[in-house]
Amino acid sequence: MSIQLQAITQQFHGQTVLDNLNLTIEPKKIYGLLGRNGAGKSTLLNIISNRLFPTSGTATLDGETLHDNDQTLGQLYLMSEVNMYNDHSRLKKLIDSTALFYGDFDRAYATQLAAKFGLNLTQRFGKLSTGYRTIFKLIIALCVPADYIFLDEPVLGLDANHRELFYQELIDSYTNRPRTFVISTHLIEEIANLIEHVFILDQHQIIVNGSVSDILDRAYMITGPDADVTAYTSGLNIIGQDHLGGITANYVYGALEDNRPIPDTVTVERLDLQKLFVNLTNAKEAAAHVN
Amino acid sequence: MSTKRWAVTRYLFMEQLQLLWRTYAFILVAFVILPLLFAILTGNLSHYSFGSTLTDLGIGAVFGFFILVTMSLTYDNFKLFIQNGISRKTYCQAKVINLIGLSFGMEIISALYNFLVTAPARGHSGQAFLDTTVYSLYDHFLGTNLFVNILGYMAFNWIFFIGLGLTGMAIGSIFALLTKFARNIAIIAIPVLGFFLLVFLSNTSTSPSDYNLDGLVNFLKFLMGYHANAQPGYFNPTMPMLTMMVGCVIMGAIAYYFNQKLKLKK
Repeated sequence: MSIQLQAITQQFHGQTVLDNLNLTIEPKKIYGLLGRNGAGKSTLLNIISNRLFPTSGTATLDGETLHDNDQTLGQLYLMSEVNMYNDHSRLKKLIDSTALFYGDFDRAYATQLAAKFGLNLTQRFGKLSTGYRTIFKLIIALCVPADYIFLDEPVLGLDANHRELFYQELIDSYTNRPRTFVISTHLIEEIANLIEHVFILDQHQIIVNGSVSDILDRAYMITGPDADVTAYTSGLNIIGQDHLGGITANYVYGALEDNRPIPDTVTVERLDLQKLFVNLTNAKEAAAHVN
Repeated sequence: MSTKRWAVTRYLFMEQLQLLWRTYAFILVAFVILPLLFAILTGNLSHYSFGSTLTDLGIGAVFGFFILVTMSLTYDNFKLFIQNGISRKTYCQAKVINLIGLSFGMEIISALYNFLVTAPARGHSGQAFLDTTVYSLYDHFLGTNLFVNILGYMAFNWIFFIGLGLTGMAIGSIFALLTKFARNIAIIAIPVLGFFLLVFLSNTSTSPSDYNLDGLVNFLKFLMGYHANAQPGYFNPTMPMLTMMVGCVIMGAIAYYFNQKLKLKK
């Protein structure tokens, strides 16, 4: 049981946004979907949820198409930046309609979350600030009985307190009812400890697809005097560099050579996800560095 | 009916009922209450007839306009439904089911109103009332049984309402695919082009021309139910009903085709 994307290509006005993309999203996992602005993250999520048609390729859930299919579409929910609700509708009514269409909507939890976030459900959607619109959409996403929840910029406009609260609720909700979450965000540091698996989208393709621990096990920062670092990292997959005075930091993605002795002047440290992402996606030739 | 289709149909029906209620409330206020208040304020109360104002409301005509407009509203509901995992196909089917059901209900209400309120208030018999409607071309074809003629009149109107609704759906689906700019251009261009087409047609029918429109006129007469030497009242209502049904199928197909193309604009 999984969502499968096969050979997805998306072009807008002759410009390629996604190029022959293949992806599997498995059940009961928390994924991070990372990419720079305009990388195609939202487009990808909109294709999965059948809001956009890919130029070519297929999206399926358990082998059944996601195109115009109530059965499969009803098993996923996309909370997106775009406001899909009518501005005049009251929040209570929107909850009612979500419950009507999805069934088994957790109203008690929705009411509880609204109280925690300080959201008045008698308000109209159009009267909410950006932050509270996000909060409302998050509440729906956490309470809807779908097996695959996609969160596109889930903390847009949220203050630090509300972001903390959301991450905590996400963990609690996942613990109580394991299901798949795919989180697309620019705040990598905030979700780094939350996600099990990461997709990095760059240059129209998925350049990294793997478990966070496996990926970070292959990401290093090697620092020391310029000559020593250069000598030690020669032949390795260097994805970025920093210089400060005579000190150089080379960022390496891939296995180090076990038989190569580490000079005393050189230190080897792990990279965090954000630093890895920045270095992988910084240069135009980044894709060439990815194994 | 599948659970999802039933849920969407129910949602759309409740939405439509609410809008319909508001529309009739507005009509009542605008055409009954306000004239009454105006008559009171200007001292012309003797010229105001509450009964005749109420019986002249034309609730069927209002519903026709209502169903054309509301069925054309497409994109907002599409956004809501796709957000909630409802397919385009189910949305379109639910809309058509809703149109058929609501039109049927409103045609019954409209007929009851016409024959139990308006006709007696005007001092007309049921048959005399039929003679004042569009159906007067056909209201003797099925014989002299008033009940049968009223049923024919209701079926005629019901199909007409469905046709109007499907036309609204087709227009709405096409417009929902256009950008705001393209939509505004279309709203301006279509009436202008329509005007020029009318001018062209009227010129060709009044001046000697190379066009022979006799065939077209005969075909239109045929579609309207005209047959050899038939007098108005004795035209065959089956033909316009069939014509409207064919129109319904065409409009429904257009609406369905473009509905399948709906996608997020941003």
